[in-house]
Amino acid sequence: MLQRFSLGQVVSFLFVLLVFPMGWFVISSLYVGAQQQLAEMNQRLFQEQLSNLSLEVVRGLRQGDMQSVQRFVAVAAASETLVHLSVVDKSGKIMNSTRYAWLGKQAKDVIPEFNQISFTQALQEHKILSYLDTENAEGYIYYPIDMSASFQKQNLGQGLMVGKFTFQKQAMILEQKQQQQLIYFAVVLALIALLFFVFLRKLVTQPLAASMRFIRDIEQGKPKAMLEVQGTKEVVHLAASLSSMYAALQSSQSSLKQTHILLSNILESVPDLVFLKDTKGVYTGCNHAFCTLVGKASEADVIGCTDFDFFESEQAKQFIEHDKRILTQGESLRSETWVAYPDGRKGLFDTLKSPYRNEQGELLGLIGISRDVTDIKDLEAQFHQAQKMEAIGTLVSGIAHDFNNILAAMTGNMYLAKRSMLQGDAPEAIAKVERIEGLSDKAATMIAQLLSFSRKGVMQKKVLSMKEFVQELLLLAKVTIPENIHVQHDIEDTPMMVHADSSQLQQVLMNLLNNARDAVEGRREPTITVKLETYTPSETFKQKHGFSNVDRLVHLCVQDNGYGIAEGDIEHIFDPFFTTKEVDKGTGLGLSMVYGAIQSHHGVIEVESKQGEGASFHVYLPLIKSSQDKKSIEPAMQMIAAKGEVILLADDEVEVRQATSEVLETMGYRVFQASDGEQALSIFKEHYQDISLVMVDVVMPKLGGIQLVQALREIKVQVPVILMTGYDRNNVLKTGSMPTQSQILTKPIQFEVLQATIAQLLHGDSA
Amino acid sequence: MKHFAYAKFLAFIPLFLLTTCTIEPPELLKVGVNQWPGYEPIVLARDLGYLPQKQVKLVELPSNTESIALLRTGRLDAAALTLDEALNVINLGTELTIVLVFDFSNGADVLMAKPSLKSLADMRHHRVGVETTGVGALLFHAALSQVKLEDDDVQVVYVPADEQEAAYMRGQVDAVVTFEPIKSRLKQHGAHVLFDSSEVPDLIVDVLAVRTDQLEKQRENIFQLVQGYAKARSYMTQYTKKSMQMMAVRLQTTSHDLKQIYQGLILPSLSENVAYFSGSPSKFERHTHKIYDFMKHQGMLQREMSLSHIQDESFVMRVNL
Repeated sequence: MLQRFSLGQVVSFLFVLLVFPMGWFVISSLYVGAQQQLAEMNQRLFQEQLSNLSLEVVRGLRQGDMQSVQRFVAVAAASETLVHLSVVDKSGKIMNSTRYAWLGKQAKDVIPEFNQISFTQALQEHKILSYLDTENAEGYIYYPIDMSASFQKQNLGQGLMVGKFTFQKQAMILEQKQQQQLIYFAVVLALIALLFFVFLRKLVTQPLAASMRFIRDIEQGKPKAMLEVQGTKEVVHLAASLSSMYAALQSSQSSLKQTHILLSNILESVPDLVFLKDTKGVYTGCNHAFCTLVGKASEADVIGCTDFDFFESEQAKQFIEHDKRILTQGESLRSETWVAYPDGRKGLFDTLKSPYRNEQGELLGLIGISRDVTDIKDLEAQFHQAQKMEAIGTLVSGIAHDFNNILAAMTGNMYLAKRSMLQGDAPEAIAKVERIEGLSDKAATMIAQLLSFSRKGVMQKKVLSMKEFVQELLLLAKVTIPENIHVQHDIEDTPMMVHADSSQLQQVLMNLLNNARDAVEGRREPTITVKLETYTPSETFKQKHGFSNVDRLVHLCVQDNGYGIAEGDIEHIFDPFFTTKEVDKGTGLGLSMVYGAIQSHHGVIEVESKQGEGASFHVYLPLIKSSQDKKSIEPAMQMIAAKGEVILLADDEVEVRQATSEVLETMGYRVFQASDGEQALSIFKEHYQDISLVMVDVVMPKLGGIQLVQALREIKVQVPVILMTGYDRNNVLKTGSMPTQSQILTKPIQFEVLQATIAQLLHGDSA
Repeated sequence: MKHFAYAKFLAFIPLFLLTTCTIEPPELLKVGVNQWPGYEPIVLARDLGYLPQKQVKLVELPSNTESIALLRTGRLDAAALTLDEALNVINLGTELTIVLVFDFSNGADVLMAKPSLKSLADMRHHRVGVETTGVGALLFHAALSQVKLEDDDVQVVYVPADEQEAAYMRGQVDAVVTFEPIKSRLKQHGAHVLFDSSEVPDLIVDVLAVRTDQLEKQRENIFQLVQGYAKARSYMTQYTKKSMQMMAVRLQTTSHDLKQIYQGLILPSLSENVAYFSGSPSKFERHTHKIYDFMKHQGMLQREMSLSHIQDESFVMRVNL
């Protein structure tokens, strides 16, 4: 109801409502008092009038001059206030009157207002009695007069003047004055109310209306200048506040708009896919890259769709499952998924989905950022290979030196062996040959390590002992570390099993050692210390590095006493292409690779350094639990004596074939030799019933080892096979599927291993 | 447009206050009447309630002498007078306007003498009681004129009407110029009529004279009075007996006597009043001029005066019963 009226109207109305009755009451009260005063005054005046008249009347009556008395009484009626007046004797008879018709009549019969009681009382008590009727503005009076005169024939005695007077005219004037005052009051009140209304309208209502229009215009987006109003201090202040608020709002909106534009541009320009979904999995927004992926022209075509509209059913279900997990757990989820482009091409997408909430923390949906990492993965693989090749380059130079030394030693010992044999000193010759054999083993080990290091492929984690791994690698690393550098190692005597890719860990350790080597170059007493131990992390350490479910770690520390790392460089040393080495001495990718490799093994790498005091790199990797501890225990070979079984030996290298044949024969086997695959197949066809086992080189002219085996197996299905190769065994496997009932041995072959392998294949012996 | 509305409102307020500032006090028309039967219908109108009490008040006076005195001093606003009395008052400086004709005397005014005086001529050297300012003087001079007597031929004694009977009884006068009801009472004492108004028709006219200064102020009250009178006249025609009884009481006579008295009067009806006041000059104006000339000739008027506004016929014309 009040909403229909303005403040001015309400205040004016309330003012009139409250003040008017009050004013009316005051004026009416005053009028009642004035009316009473008027009545009393008229009563008094009438009494005075009668008092004067009574003098004439009494004199006339005493003189018996009734005509004069009548004249006096009649003339008195000319007064406006006198209604009628009669002179009444004690018997109640009217002697004189303003009404001629009443003369001689009984007062009680003709005077309408005559009261016998009052008449008697006034007569007996000789007292003036008067009555006022303020309502009708009239009065009645009983005025005693003494008409007695001793000389009169008839003594009239006591009498009364009975009369009625009126003051209606004055009362009417008074009433009109009251009405006039009420009208004045009402008019003044209305005027004041109007002034209230006008002032409130001018000072409050209009400025408020202007303010409301201002706000409405802003709501409707109409551009406005500043709000200026005239009114009370509060209203002006309000207007100023609104203007300030609007200015701030404009600035904020402008900034928001700019930010929105910037954000839109960023979203549209980034090659990554960005998309938004609500809690029901419905798309609520995306950028152009996402549109391209799902084959839509614009964001509008995507909004309202679900994953089922874009992806295959199984994949959509998987995405929705991810979404549910994110929305339920409220945590981000990162995943890599192969997704097909509209043209059928497939890409590997690395996707991070995170929940997003409003200011109140209510979950609104999720935001996803996805990137096609297919090329990056390829590049990563290429990069890792390049790293390895770089390491190999360093390794080869060292190996060449060692090989030359071994060859030199072998040459010398062979010379001494020949001379001893010529001199008939067989024991000395055997000793020299055994030394040559040892040198040969040493060279073979170096080659095996080299081949293992250069192995290509994706990360292949397996359980391995860090103790053995580090020990082996330190042997290999010797070739890359100058002899003047003292390498200390402190390796705990436990296996310390980890789940790791040996190739990547080799690169890690080699990179750390190479860096240490470079760091100590030119230092006095250059020393590199390698420490390996188990480590029980503190709670702080766990929280800091996210090892919540890990109780024990393996701690590998590579420490040097080199020049150290500058304080400002420490935080950058794991950045790609950051190097402090001279040009052409480092790619800047070594520590970056180390960092990435440790991360992929869920480990941590930390560095401590002070300039001039060397550096320490600490690598922590999770130890697998005891139940998973697996010791790679090599089967114990048992030497079983040969019983003249026939072995077909195929190798294109004459020296190797003959040496191997001799060894086999010394073991008690009979040997057919073949110089290539075809020859071997031919021999096998001829003697397959006699041949118990086949030894073939994997790489041979005319017919490769694998193809040969396949051909042989067509002739004799279950013939055992030993594949021999000078390459890494994994490379061999890549060239073809590994045949059943076969083993692969890497050259140079340890003859104890060969003997055990033959025995296993022929007799099923194993550890 | 709104500002214009405010301006109009603000301008209206002082106008409104001005109109309400002056309080017009209610006026009361005080009319003097004596006990002349010709005036009695107006008293009957009051008794019948035809006159609004707050607007019209009848002041019953012993004679026209008091009426004239009170009228001149302003204590009365109007009075029932004879036309000559009215002219005399005007001549004395109080402007009056005639609004109604009550009656024409047609024998009601008489010159009565004691039985020894047989004719008008016998009045020579005798004492004649006359109201010198009233109709008595007019009739007296008319009577003298008829027998060609002069004022000096008789002994004129001033006697107010209410004292005429007593003066005659005491022998203070031999003849008296009087009217009803004194006429009837004197007749009972042996006096006989030597001359009456029927011998000089239209000479004695009773009228309602209003102070001219009250004419405009009390126009409505005057109208109420004239209308009340007209209603009473209508009542008299319709209820003659009852009205006669009512009027006889005040006149202290009987209905029978009152009827006799009215035979000596011509009471013009409302339409006759209208006719009497109509025309230019109206019959009333012509009659007034005649009386004025007579009075002037008789030396009853002190000065010349204009009679151009002597009548206001609007009240009788407005009445519509």
